[in-house]
Amino acid sequence: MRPFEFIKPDSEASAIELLGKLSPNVRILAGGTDYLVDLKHTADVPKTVMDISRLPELKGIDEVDDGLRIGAGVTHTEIMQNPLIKKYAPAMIHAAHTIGAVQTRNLGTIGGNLVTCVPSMDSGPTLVALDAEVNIVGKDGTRRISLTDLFVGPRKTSLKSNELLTEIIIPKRSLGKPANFYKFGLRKGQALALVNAASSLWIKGGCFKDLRISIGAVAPVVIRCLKAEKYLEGKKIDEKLVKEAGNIAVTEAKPIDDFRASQSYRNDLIAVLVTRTINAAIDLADKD
Amino acid sequence: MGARFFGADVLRAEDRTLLKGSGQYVDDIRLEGTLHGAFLRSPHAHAIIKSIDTTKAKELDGVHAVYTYDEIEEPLNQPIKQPYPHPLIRKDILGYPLAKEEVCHVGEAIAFIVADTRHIAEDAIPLIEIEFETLEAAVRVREAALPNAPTAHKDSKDNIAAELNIKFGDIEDTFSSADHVLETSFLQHRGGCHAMEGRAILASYNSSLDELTSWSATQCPYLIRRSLAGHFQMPESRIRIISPDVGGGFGPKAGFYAEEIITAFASKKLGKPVKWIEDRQEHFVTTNTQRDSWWDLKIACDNKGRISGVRGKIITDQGAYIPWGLLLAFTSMTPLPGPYKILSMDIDQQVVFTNTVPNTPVRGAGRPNAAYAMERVIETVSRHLKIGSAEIRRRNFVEKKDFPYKTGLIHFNGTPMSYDSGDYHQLLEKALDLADFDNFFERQKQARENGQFLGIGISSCIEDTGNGPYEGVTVRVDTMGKVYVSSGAASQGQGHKTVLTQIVADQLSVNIEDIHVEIGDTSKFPQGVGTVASRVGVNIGTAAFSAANEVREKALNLAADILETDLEDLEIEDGIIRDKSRKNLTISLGEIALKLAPMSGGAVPAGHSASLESTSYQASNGMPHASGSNVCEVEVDIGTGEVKVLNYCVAHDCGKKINPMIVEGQIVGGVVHGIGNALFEEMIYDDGGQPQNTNYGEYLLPLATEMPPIKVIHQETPSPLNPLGLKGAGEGGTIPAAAAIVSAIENALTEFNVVIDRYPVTPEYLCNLIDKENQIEV
Amino acid sequence: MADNREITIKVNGKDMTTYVETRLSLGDVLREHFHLTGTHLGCEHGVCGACTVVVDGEPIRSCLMLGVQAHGKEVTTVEGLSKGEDLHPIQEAFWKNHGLQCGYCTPGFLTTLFSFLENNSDPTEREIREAISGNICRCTGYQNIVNAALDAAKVMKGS
Repeated sequence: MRPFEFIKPDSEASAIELLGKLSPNVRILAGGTDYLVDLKHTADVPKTVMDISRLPELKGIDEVDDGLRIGAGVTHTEIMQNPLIKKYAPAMIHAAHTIGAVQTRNLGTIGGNLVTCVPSMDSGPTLVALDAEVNIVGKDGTRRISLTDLFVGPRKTSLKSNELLTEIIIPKRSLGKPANFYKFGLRKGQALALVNAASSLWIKGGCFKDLRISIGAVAPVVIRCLKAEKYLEGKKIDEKLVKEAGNIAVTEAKPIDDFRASQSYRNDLIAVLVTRTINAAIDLADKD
Repeated sequence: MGARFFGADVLRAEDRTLLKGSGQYVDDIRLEGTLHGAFLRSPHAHAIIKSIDTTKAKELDGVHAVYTYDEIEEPLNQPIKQPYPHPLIRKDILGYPLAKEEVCHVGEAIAFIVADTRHIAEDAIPLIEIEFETLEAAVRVREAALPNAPTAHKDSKDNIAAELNIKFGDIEDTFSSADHVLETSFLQHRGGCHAMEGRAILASYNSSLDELTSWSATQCPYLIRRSLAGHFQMPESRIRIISPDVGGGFGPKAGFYAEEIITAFASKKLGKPVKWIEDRQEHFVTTNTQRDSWWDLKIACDNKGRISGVRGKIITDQGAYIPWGLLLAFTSMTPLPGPYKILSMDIDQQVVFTNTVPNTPVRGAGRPNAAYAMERVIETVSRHLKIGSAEIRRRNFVEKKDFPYKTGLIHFNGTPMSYDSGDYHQLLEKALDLADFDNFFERQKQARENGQFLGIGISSCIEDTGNGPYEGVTVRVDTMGKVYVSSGAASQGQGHKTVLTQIVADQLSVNIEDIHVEIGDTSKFPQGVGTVASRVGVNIGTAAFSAANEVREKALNLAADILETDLEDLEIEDGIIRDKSRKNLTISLGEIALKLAPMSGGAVPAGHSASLESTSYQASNGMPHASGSNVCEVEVDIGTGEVKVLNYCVAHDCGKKINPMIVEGQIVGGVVHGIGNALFEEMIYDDGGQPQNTNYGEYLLPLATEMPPIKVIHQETPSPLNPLGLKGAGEGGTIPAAAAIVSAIENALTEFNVVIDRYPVTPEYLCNLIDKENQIEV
Repeated sequence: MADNREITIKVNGKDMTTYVETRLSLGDVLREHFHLTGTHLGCEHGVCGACTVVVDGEPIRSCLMLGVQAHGKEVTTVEGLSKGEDLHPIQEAFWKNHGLQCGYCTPGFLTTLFSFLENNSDPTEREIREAISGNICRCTGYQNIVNAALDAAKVMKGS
């Protein structure tokens, strides 16, 4: 690892100020589980590394007026242990559980997972399926965007170099929404997702309502499968239709071919995972 | 003399230090003034170094030296010497200590930087300016074996390192008279070392004494000593190699590597200790691995499934160099018949260079390959003739009455392969019982009704263990009655100190606490071979038994003279020799030791020899053959191709066990290594020879969450070849594992007619084998 | 450009102060500055778990935390588990269950389980396997480590 200057602001405001002053020659360090590995191998070492892991403003999970607020600095372990998450978005617990191992979940943060923006991120699909939004703070104030608008490309977000992702908001309408996350990697523990998927839905009168399907690791960013969603929306629950939705989702993805898996195998997995997550969400839903 | 410790679960003497975090692995050893090294390594699979400029690197603050090939002095600028010469090696190509002109695999060392800290040494790597001309690389071994393939070395005409054949019986007659001739072809890939401690060296040259001391994370300190002596043209007596606590070996750490020469050279030049600690990425590209071998076999058998002959061809990926001669090639052929009575065999093997990391043995060497191949043969016959997988084995096993059984093959040491003892039929039945095999098919049926695909697989094997020539042991009693034991056999976690203690404590009737053991230090014991091939337990066990016995005899003989009693009336208890009938007539071992080691002017009692000690190199009189039958159960997710190992049962026979707890630890660990081979571990290169997965996120080692409960049951057929009845156990878990897993997967997918032709069995590979039309969504 | 800081970390109950380069990992600081070499670096990539230490009550990878980030924190390393000659119940259980062979990964398993068992007094085998899935062992096949953890849990619960 090459030398760098290290700074550790003690408040969000001072972090934003420093960011404005030092960008673009500064990189943000949160949990470090991804970035410190990068830093060891890259020749592109920034002048300054800013540690935000202890900013109090980025902590906490609270019920707020418009939904559930999750601080960007909340660790995966904190998500797994939080009663509000358990009550309102338990699929997130499952997703968090598939990230790394206990030692990395204790350090890694949900905000870090999102802004690192690797296509296989395991926090993404569930949050997308729950219509999550994010708050971004810069020197000109706060802006809120939908999570899908944060993702631009592999390791590329719409954050400006002087902005900080501070909060994730799960909107009120999604709280308690039946949802399921499924990750398939080449090994159970500590594996990258070859494909991950999440679905959420309500059932009204035996029909799909507000179905959301999101998949990861099979396109430059985590995506929503709008066509598959549309195909099922309003239709009566039917195993065959769910299977067909899995096939439609395949057409919405653009998986890569690499040494980990071929494109065609990833496509097979998309169909299987989408089908399984929808079926699992159906099992969780009230069938009135 | 009753055995109090032999055969008991004696807790390990090694453990307290390790548990408290005060173990001394190479990187934990601190010498005043130590400098730290880092290597610039080839980023190309095959290239010529056109120019290299180290000026800027040398100018960096804290850098003491940067060495390239040109700076290495005579006589060190020669290729690494072949430790295992063999007339069948056609091209005996080994690398230089630092690349001379050509680099032949990604990771080959080009320059060595020595600095105040490891960080500074690494900072200097990108400051070296280097220009390459890339050459076409030989990467896929079957293509590399073809006549006009790009060559792995620029001056070679082809890539064939060696061609071997093994043969016995009348193969033509066997095949022409067979009821059936069947075929099976498959790829085996065994992955790398991945000891949790990588390689590590701390070299310290003392110029006033002209002595070199090197701490090395090695399985074979005596090989390092011998090799360094050869390269430095320095007497072995001036070189001390210490293998301190070593964090796992598994084969690749038994080799001699360029880094041993370079660190010692740097220490000599700079007059300071020099440390090099391999990082994990380096481990992937520089520490030997055991990769692809492609097998094409034809099988002759009769209608009852009795196999009469096997013929065929193996192509083995040797990687860029041949640092272990043909050991891997031979060990994948000579144990091929396994526990089965085969009348004839004729197998060719081509050993082929490629521009990848050199290939040398990993846990089991070629034995897991041979066992897997023979189990594929058995399963092929079973499938074709529809004979159950347990029954087909029963029909082909060597029978108990056949021992000693000569297979017809010759071991690479020149002696006939001869199985000393065992009971393969009973061992299989034990494994089947343990796995509740008879009721499995009902479980399988029920699971299938719930949409689950369960399968069961069997694998039976033999293992030639305890090979020669020897390991030595010295046992010496001091005047306090304390016992000192030393041996050349270094340990990488196998508990050598504990087993030596157990044997010596029993033979001398002393307490374990009174025994002090030192191993793995060439200055503490004159000669040794190495901890490889499940050989050390048998060899040090036998030598320790013999040396301790001689010490006992010596002590009793002198005691009989001193106490004026008959030898037969004497016994030793807790270090005290006494007359059985006159219990107050005693003399301690310490007092005897004093009589045999008097001060100046004294005399050793007449008729007795100096010092209460003995050194023995007694070895097993031939190779004891361990055996095993394994049964495992898997579940396959046909949607994703994921395989879950549900449980794994081992019936194992390694003769008399010195320490059952340690034996079981070896077996369970070995099984998991084998499961890793079967399902997870794959060193992947792209077509240009770039390794693709050089970290533990991508190269998948088995984790606790993937591993099944492993049950082990023992059978003891003592080996008649050594006094304690020992057989080796270090690799018996690994050897049969992949075959059991693969058969179980095939069994789970019987309705899809899946025949697996490679391992590791990845989910994608398996999904592709399952007929898509038949795929049922669950 | 090198940036050096003075940091103070409470290691195994004792405040330790040193002057370090900001780029050094906590693992490097423990080993090189405090000479606590029981913490082993196995992959320096955040996967093998050999370097696990307990920071403010939670197991983390000391290769994935900078030394300067640990300033002001409490760190427990393997050296902090035993009290003099008395092994911690987890260490004792590893010994009795043959839960280690080469011993290199062992400190990471011990610190991981130390934290896990403090918070889970009655774990199932499944939970233990899950808890140690961030630690790689090439020797033991994990089974005896799991057995040791089950044993240690009983002892710790009783005490």
